[in-house]
Amino acid sequence: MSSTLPLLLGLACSPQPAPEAQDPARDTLVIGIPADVSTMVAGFSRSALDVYVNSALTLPPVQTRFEGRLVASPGLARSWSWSDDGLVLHLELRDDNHWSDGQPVTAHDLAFTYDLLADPATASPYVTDLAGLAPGEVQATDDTHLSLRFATPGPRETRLLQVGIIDPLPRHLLQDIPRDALHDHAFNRQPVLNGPWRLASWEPGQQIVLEPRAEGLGPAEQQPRLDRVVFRVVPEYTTRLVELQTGALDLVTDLRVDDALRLAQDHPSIGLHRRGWRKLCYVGWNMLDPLAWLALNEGLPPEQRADPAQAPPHPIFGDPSVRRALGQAIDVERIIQDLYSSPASGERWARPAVSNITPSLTELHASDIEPVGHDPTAARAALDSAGWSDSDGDGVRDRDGQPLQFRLLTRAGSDPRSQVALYLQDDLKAVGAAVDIEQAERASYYQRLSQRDFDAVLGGWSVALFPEPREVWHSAPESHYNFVSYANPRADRLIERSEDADDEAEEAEALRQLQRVIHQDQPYRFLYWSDEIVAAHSRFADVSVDITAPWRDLHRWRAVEAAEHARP
Amino acid sequence: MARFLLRRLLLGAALLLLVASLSFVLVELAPGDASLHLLGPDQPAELQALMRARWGLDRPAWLRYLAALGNLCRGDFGASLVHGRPALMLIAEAAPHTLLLSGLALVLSFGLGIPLGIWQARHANDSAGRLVGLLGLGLYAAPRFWLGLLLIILLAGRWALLPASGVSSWDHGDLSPLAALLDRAAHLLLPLLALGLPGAAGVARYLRASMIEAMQGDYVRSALATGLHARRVLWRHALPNALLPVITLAGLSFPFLFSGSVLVEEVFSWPGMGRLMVHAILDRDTPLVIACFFFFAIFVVLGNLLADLAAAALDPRLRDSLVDDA
Repeated sequence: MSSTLPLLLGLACSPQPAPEAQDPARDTLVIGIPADVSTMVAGFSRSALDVYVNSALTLPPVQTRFEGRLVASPGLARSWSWSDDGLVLHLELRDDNHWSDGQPVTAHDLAFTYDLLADPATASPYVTDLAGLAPGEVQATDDTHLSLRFATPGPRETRLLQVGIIDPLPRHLLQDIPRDALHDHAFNRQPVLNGPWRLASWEPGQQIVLEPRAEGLGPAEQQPRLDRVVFRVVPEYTTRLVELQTGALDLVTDLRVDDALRLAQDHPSIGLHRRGWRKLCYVGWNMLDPLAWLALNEGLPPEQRADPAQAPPHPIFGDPSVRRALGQAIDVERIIQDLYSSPASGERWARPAVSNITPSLTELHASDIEPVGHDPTAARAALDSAGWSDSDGDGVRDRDGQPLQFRLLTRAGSDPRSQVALYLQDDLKAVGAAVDIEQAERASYYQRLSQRDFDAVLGGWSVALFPEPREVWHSAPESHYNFVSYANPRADRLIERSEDADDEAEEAEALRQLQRVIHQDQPYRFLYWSDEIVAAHSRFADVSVDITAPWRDLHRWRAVEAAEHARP
Repeated sequence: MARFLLRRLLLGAALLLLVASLSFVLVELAPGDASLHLLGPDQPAELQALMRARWGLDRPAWLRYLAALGNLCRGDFGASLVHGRPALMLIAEAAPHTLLLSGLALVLSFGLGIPLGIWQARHANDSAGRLVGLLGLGLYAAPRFWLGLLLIILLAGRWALLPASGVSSWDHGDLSPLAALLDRAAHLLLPLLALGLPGAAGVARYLRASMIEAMQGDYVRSALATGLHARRVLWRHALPNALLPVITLAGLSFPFLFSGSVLVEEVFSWPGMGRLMVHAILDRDTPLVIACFFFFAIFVVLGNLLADLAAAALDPRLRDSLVDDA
């Protein structure tokens, strides 16, 4: 199939009839999504797609815009303030917002929501964001005033955003439902929410139709200007692409660069939007010997895992000079040139990465770090110095009888990554390292990461816009994303400093220093940031696509011309 | 005959039990479980443990197996871990789509394949027959996933004749009943062609070979020798005999139709059981996987039984043997 797919995609992107069929429902935006959502309630969302779709249905206390960092702007909350000690956040809510059943949204609803989602019994993914709140210290003083007390001081803006973007839930409908039943409750499929749109219908596996809420239930400026928004579930990428070109879909996310280039050339009625540097591709080097680690943890449940310090280092990646040398062998520019650049214009949709904090976060990103360059000569010299030489002339270096050979784990079906794996294999072979590519499907991939059952991993992240370095870099056992078992006391201290910082400037400085320390240690070879491409029909105006979401503020979108929407 | 039916039904029940057991074992053997997949690896271990306990994944596999079998005997497949709804309800929503698509694909396979096979048998030695045979072979060999994409690109994309995905247009609720029906029919055509055309090519090849063999039989030569018209000999004598193995093929086609629907449903965004099952497997949604396998097996067992009965109805020798067996 892999050999025929490019041919099919080429056919799919060749000139086709322009969207021109007659259809009276032209004020409908049809968005192609690759999978169905699992819930209509963001508090129980399981994926980024859930959150993107759910966001149209709600008005959170604080809305965000991106200006080199996330900036809070009023939503359900008209204003906010902090106590002098920085422990108590006071929110003043607007009084003109209603649930879609007509009941007013009050501070009591919001207090109920925070209490509900902070309770582990509800199994909400927001439980970690709310962990900083002092237990039982969310108080609604009246219908429009709410105060939230945090257990310890911390960066105010970050905390405001963490709790402020959580969507409220209606207390009058949910308070009598057992909390452990909420996760799978019918409310998730027929929600009553407070956003500009309401759920008109949801045909599982097929489509979700949103219609504007009734007039008067919310702020007038948030009343939608389109008649409908339809999310069509189209799992197959080629099908989405064809439907975009025929006009059956108006918006498709995550386009491949070569397809985007063809679309731009052949379909001027389709506009391309860049989301910003949010997707990171990297190689992580496992610093523990995976076999010894697995033996240590055999039979133990995940919450009782052994201390990584008890496991011996990885025979190859335990040495930082080897990690750096292998990193130098990788030609990131070639990958970007071949996979993410326009041959005609030279435009690029990827840039080299030096850390896992996106360069779009201009204040937090350590822009002074020099990327690890492609220098195979230096890589060979460093490997020689580390004792890895090709003693038997088979093209693969060895040391003490052990070849410089390792498994590179990656996720199956992740198209650019499987191509990148071949580039890495090629580059590393040139310096005498043999790479065996192992593709694992999603569940297996995550299990192996979680169990640290790999040598090196070629992974990808859609990174958080609130950097949470503890999850990835701290040596404490609860750092669930620290798959490579990175441990450096200096990095730990910087992470703790960023968490305890009183203001954003101190937090930013700690994070920049942390990136420099990590760059020095090279637990990862950060490869590149890629820019997600969103294609939308140009008959829509006030289109908002940015690093936070592939579509946002859908209530502002409007149709601008009489061009018709195609229905074959 | 009643004893024959009873015996087949009992055998079918044993097969279903085996299928349910195997599907449980296969999901258990696959690495990863639903908690890791659904919550992601970044969630706190306490939350993972809570959800594992809530879903019963913290119990030993043999206990969960016994519980699943016990529930199965009561007709309770449990709730899907991903959807949070009864697996039976999800099957009830998806099965009509798959049965419609697979049923019509079967009709297309035989409705088109039989006349094509007869035509090919009659033109076995001329160039037109060989060309059609070659094209049919290509169609039969084409992966349905690939054929589906090609149909979408050509018929939905390049020529904009048919819709590419879904069971209906997004605004089907606004259409008149007749327009809505036509809309649904239009959406059905591409997946039907992707699933049915390779089947038709297979039936045609099978029947062609069977017809050629039948045409060389003594009874055909005798019929021709008595002066009967060749066309009458073909239709009245050769075809009924040549059709018998094709009817057996119909029974054997059910598993292939359902397995083909797995890929075709994904490509055409057809919300049937094939798509439901693929995602249930990827999500390690054990209750839903067992339910899907179970119902696929029911359809296959019933399909084979119907094919046997149809063959017996056509062939008195088979009918007699069934009675003798009983």
